[in-house]
Amino acid sequence: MHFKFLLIFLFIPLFSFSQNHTISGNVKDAANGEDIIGAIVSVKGKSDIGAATNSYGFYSLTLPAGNYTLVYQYVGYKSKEETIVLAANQVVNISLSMSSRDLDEVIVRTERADKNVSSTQMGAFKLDPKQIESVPVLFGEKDIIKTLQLTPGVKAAGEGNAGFYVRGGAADQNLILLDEAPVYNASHMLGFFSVFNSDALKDVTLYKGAIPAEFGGRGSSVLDVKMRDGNSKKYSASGGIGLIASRLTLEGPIVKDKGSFIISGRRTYADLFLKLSNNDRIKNSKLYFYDLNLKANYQIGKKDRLFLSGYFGRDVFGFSNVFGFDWGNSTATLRWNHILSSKIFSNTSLIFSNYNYRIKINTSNQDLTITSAIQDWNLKQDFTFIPNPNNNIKFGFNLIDHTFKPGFIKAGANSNFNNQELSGRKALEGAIYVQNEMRITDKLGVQYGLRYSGFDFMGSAIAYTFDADGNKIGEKKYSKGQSITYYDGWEPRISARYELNNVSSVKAAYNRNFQYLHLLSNSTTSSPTDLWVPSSNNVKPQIVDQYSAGYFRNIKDNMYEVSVEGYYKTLQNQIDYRNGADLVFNELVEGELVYGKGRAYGVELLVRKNMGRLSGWVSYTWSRSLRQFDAINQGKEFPARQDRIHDVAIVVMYDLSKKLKISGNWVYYTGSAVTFPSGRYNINGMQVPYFTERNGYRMPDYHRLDLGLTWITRKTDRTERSWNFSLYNAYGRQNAYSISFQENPDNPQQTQAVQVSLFTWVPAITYNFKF
Amino acid sequence: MNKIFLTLSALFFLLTSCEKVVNINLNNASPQYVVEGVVFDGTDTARVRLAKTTDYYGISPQQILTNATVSLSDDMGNSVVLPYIGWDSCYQLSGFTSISGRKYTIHVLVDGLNIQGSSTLQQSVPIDSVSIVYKTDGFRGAGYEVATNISDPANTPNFYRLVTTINDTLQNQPKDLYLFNDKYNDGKHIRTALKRRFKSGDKITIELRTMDAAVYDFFTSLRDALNNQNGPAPANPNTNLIGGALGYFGTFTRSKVSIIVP
Repeated sequence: MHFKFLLIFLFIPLFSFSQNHTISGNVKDAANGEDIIGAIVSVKGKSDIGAATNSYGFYSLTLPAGNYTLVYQYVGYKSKEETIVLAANQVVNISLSMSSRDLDEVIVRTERADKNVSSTQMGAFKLDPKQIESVPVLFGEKDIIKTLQLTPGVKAAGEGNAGFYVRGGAADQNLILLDEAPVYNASHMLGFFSVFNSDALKDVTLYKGAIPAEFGGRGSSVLDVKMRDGNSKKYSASGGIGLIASRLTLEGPIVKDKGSFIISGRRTYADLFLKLSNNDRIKNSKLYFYDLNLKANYQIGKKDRLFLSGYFGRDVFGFSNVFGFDWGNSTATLRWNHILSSKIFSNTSLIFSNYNYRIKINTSNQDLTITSAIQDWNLKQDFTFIPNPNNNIKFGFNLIDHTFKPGFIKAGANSNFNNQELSGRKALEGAIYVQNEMRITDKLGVQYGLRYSGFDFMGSAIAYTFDADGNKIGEKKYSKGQSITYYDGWEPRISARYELNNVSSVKAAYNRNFQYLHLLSNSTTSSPTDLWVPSSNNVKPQIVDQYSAGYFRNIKDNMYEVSVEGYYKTLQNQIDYRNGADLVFNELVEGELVYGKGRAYGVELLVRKNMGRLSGWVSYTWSRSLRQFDAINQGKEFPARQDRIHDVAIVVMYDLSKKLKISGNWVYYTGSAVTFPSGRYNINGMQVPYFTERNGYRMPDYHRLDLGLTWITRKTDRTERSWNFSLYNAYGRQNAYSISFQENPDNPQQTQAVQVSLFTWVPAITYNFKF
Repeated sequence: MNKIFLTLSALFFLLTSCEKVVNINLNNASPQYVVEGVVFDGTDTARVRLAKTTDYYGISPQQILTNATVSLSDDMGNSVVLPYIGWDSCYQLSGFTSISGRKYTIHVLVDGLNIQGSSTLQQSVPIDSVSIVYKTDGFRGAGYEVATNISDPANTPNFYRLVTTINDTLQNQPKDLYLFNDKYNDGKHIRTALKRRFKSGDKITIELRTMDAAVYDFFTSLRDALNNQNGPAPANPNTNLIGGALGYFGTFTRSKVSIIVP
C-alpha cells in the first residue's frame, strides 16, 4: 500500500473523554424486525441533542450522567419514550410499531419531518421503495431508477431506459451499489428494466452532490441501494403477477429475533408473446431475464452480527438454436457488524462483483463462443465513531482487486475463426477516508471529509503506446504484479448548513471525485457489450469537481418541502471516440479514444409534498453540460448528448379512498443534443449526409403523461391483495427515439428525415399479493 | 455484434415502434469540395469526379466542377493527366494500367486548392467458389443462401468489399455495403453469405474487391454514416484525402463470378 494511505490518519481529530456515559443500541420495526435506518433518538426537553440510527439501525448517544427521557421516533411509526438513569454505559434496544394508517391521518414519507432543512446533506434524494409502488411506469414494473429519473438533476438515458445521467455527467459516472457491491451493468433487456427488484429493497439514496467521503470511484453520483433483511418475526410471502413479469418474495426468521432471510425472484416472460407468432424463427426465440436477490443475517452474541447478501441476474436471448446471447451481474457481500464499544461501530465487508456476457453462434458453417467479463474482489472496513452528540466520525479504507477480461473468441471445430483473446487487464484500487459530521452551533453544521484514493494498473499485461492519430507506436510487456502506471489523488468533500430559522436553511458544498474505470459504449443507450476499461498508461482517471449551494425551506409545518440547488462542475480527462472508432473486440481499443474536458452547471427546483392524501413532487431543472476535445468539432466546445436544457417532472399520488389510489406523472424535457447533417453529397451513387458540427442540433422536445390506479381488494394485518393498472404515454405522444437521414425511396435524388418512436399507449396490469 | 443487437431490438419493438417521415429544419453549410477517385487493377479507365456539397434537402443535382487540373502519379515516377471528358461527369483516362504493390496518388488543383490522396493497389484475391444452399433457418427465413468462399492470404491484413448485381440491377443502397476483413480469420478460408435469400432463376454477379486499410476505413465509416446515424456521434467518413476535401481516392482489385440460382 502506498505510504500516503497512512498520512490520512493525522487528520482524525483527537477527542477528550470526560465523565460521560453512552447509551447505544438498535432500533427495529416491531412487526418484522427490520432495522430502521435514520430513526431519530432525542432527549426530551433538550431538542438540540440527539442521534440517528445508521444503515444497520445502530445508534450511540453520549451524555453526562443523569436522568433522561429518550424519545425514539421514525416517521410513519408511533414514537416511543424510554426513561433512563444514566450512571454507566447502557444498551437500549427499541422496537417501533407502525402507526395505523387511517386515511385522514398525516403520513410522512421521509424519515424526519424537517430533514430537508436540518440535515447537512444536500444534493441527495431518498426513496422508500414501498412508497413508489403507485408511480406508473413502463410495463407496470415499478422501478426505483425510473422513479429517480423524475427527480431534479437526474435524466433518463433514453425512452424507457434505466440508464441515467446525473447533473450533466455520463451514464458510467454513477456508482451503483447494491448492499455495497458495485453493479456494472444495471439494466436488463436493452435497458428497459433496471436490475433492481423493488420487492427486495429497503432503502435507496441517490447522492448527486456533496457526496460523503465514504463513497468514491465514480465522478457524478452514488446510488446506494440497500436490500431488506427479511422478516425476523414470522414467515411471509409476497409477490405480483404482471403482463410481462412476475415476482415472488419469501422471508422469515432463521431463529426468531436472532436472524432472518429473504429470497426474492423475478422473471419476465415477454418471449411468450413470441410463441404467438406464426413465424417459426420468431416462435423458437428466447428473450427473457430473471433475477434473484438473497439475503440472510444472524446475530451472534450482543456485539456481532453477520450478513450475507447476494444478487444474481441474467438476460437470455436465443434465436432458434443458431444464436445465443446471455449476460448478467452477480454480486455477493459478506458483512460483519461489530460493536467495538458503545461509541464505535465497525463494519467489515468482503464484496464480490462480476459482470459478463457470452455470445454463442452455432450454424452449419459457423461455431464459436465469445465471452467477456469484469470481476472485482473488494475488502472494505468502515468505522463509525460517535464521541459525543455533536460529532459523528466515519473512517475506513477499502481495497479492490479488479480483473478485466475484455474478450475471448473460442472457435469450434466447425469454425473458420482463429481462437483469439484480448489482453487481460489487472488493477488494484485503494482508498482511505475520514469524515466528521459536526454540529458547531445550533444553527451551523458542517460535514467535512477527505478521501485518498490510488489506482495501480498492473501486469501481466501488454501496455501499448499510440501517436496523436491513434496508431500504435510501441508496446511493452509487463509481468504479473508489475506496476505499469500508478495514479492517486486527494478527494476533499465538505458541506455546510446554516439554519436561518426553524423552517429554512442554506447549504453549500464542494466535492472532488476520482474515477478510475471507464465505460466504452458505441450505442446511445446501454448495451450488454459495453466495455469497462481501467485507467492505464493511455487513459487518465476522470476528475470531477463540484461546487453547489442551495436554499431549503419547509412550509406549513413540514407539509411541503421546497429546495433550490445550483451547481457548477468541471470534468477532466473525459473520454470520447475517434470518428468511426472500432470498439468491438479491438486489442488496440485505447487508440480509438480521444481525451478532453467538460463542464456542467444548472439549477434545480423541487417542491415535494410528503404528507396527506395528496402527495408527490414537482421538479424543474435548468442545466447545461458541455465538452471540449481538441480532436472533435475543431476544438470548439459542444453540448454533451445529455445537455437537455429544461427538464420538468410532476408526480402526483392521490388516495381516493382506503382502497383506491390514483397516480400520474408528466415529464417534459428539451430534446437531447444531436448531430444532424447540414448538407449532402454523392459517393458511389449514394446520398451521403455532410456533418459540420458535433451535437449542433436538438431532438424534438419530449413529453409524456403516465397514469396509474391501485385498487386494494383486501387488506388485513396479515394479508393484502391489490390490482395495479397503468397506462404509459397516456396521450400517445410520438416521441422521437431516433431520427435518421436517408434517400427518399421514391426519388433517389431527394433526401428525407425519418423518425422512429417506440411506445405509444402501453397499458399494463399487475396483481399483487402478500400473506 | 451490433447488428445482432439491432436485430434483437427489432424483435422486441416489433409491436410497439412506429416510423414516420418528419420535417427537421437543417442549416445550409457552405459548399465543400467532394472528390471520388477510383483506379481498378489491370487496364481500365481511371476516373475522378469533383463536385460540391449541396443543401441536405436541396433538389437540384450536385454541382460538378469542370475547371480543375487532375493528374495521377505512381511511386515509380510516372504521371498522367486526367482530362475532363464530360461523360459520367468525370475526369478520366481510358486504358490506364495499374500494377499491384504500387502506390498511386491523385492531384486535384481547383480554385487555388491542392487536394491529394494516395492508395496502394493490393494483391488480387480470387473467389474460390460460390456456394448456394437452400435454407429454412437463420434470421432470413426460407430461400437460397448465396455465399462466396475465398482463401485469405496469410500474415497480411486484407480488406474486402463485395459488390453485387442481382438480375442486372447493381445493388447500391447503404445496406449493400458488404465490407469485411481478416481481423478474426487471417490466413483462413473466409465464407461470406449475402444478407438476403434468393429464388430459383436469380442471376447474381459478385465482384470481390480488395483495397488498402485507409480506403477500407473510408468505406466502413461511410457505412456508419449512412446506416448508423443513431450512434453517439455520427461523423463524416474518414477520408484519405489531404487538402480539405470530402470523399476518397481508392485503388481496387476485382475478381468476378456470375451465377444463376438453379
